[in-house]
This record gives sequence, structure tokens and C-alpha cells, in this order.
Amino acid sequence: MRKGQWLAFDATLALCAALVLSVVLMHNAASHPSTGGDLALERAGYDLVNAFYMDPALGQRVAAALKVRGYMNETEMGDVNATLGRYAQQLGVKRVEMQVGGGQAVVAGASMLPATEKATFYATITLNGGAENRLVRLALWK
Amino acid sequence: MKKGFFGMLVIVIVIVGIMTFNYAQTKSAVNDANADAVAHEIRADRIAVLRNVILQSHRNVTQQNELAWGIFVQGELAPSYGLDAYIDYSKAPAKVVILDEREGMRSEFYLVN
Repeated sequence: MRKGQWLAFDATLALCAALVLSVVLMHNAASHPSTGGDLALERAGYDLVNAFYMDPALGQRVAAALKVRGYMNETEMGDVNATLGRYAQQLGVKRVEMQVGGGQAVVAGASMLPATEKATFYATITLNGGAENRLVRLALWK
Repeated sequence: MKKGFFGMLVIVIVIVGIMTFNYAQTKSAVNDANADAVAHEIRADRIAVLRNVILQSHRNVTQQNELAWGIFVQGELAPSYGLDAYIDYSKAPAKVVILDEREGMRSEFYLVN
């Protein structure tokens, strides 16, 4: 090889090295750890908690069931599931889960799809004028 | 001439490397700032959600059960959100204070049915 060709070869190698360096640095910058939360899920959570109180088919339905027999039967769970599924669709989330007092859980939405982000919210069911209070966990997956 | 070209090439590569490194550092700093802003926003949202839950659930509380409900809110509901809530019944209407010790945020409102 002539000296000129060696120089061209050197230059090409150096450029390749610079490109590799750039790609590595850019990749490091791009793969910065995530924020640990998702604002869209937060907004959806706010709306779902609000709907839990405002929509008679959710909070009031669950409260009525708990007041009468202390748990939800199959029909009530099916109705709540359908309502939650509708909200999951409207809010643009893959899955919504509602659990009353660490007991019965209702899962709605496409549970087969892989869900990435999750946000958990809490509401309360007030029974007997506040003498009994149950914590309701509402979880959303994106 | 050839030596001069090679020297220039090395200098250019070094400069490109420094610029790329600086760009990556700046991008990383911007990402950090964005992550902080989002985390703050989420914590502020949680305060708003808890405030809404407290106000909505209080509508069904009778006067004689205020204390039981207040204990539940302060002892179970607020800690679930990672927040502290205090209800001051010495005032009429009762005043609720939600505190986020971690972010230094605070929300105060009154329980008006």
C-alpha cells in the first residue's frame, strides 16, 4: 500500500472510532432511568377516583352491596367489572383493578396484553354514616 | 501536506468527541430536570386526588361519626398515598391539612358538606 492509502485507511478508522464513541454516548444519554411515573396514568387515576364517587354504578353500587351483605355477589361483580371496563376504554388504559378492603378484587380490561406502567390510587367507602370505613384500591395499567 | 492533513484530522476528531460528550452530558442533565419536574407533578396530583377523596367521602359522614372517619383518614387513607393528613376539629368547619414531607408541599381546605 502507498502512504496515501495508509492515511486514508487511518482516517476511515478514526472516523469509525468517533462514530462508535458518539453512538455509545448517545445511547447512554437516551437510556436514562425513567421518572418512575406517568402523567397520563395520573390523570386517568384522578378521573377514575372521581368516577368512583360520581357514577352510581361504581362506588354507590359497591357500598350498597357491602351494606346489605358485606360482600359483592357475582351479579354485582359482573356489573362493576363492565363499568370498570368501560372506564378503562374511555381513559385509554389497558387494565383497571378494584379491590375492596384487601378482599374481593375486580379486574377489567385487556388483562392478556402486556402492561408496562402501573399507578395505584385509593378511595374510601363510607358505611353507616362513617362508623365503618373501607379502603378501596384502584390500580391502573398502561 | 499529508502530515498537516493527518494532524487536522486528529484535531477534528478530538473536537467532535468533546462536543459529543458535552451534548450527552447536557442531554443527561435535561433528562434529570424533566424527571424531577414529572415527579413533583405526580406528588402534587396525589395531593389533589387525596383532597378529592376526603371531600367526596365526607359527604356521607354524620356528625356523630366524624371522629371515627377522621381517624380512618389520618391513619389509613393518607398514608396509602404516602402523605400525612391532619384534621383540626377545633375550627368550624373542620380544617384539613395534607402534608407531603418529602416534597415540602401542603394543601389546606375546609370540610364543608
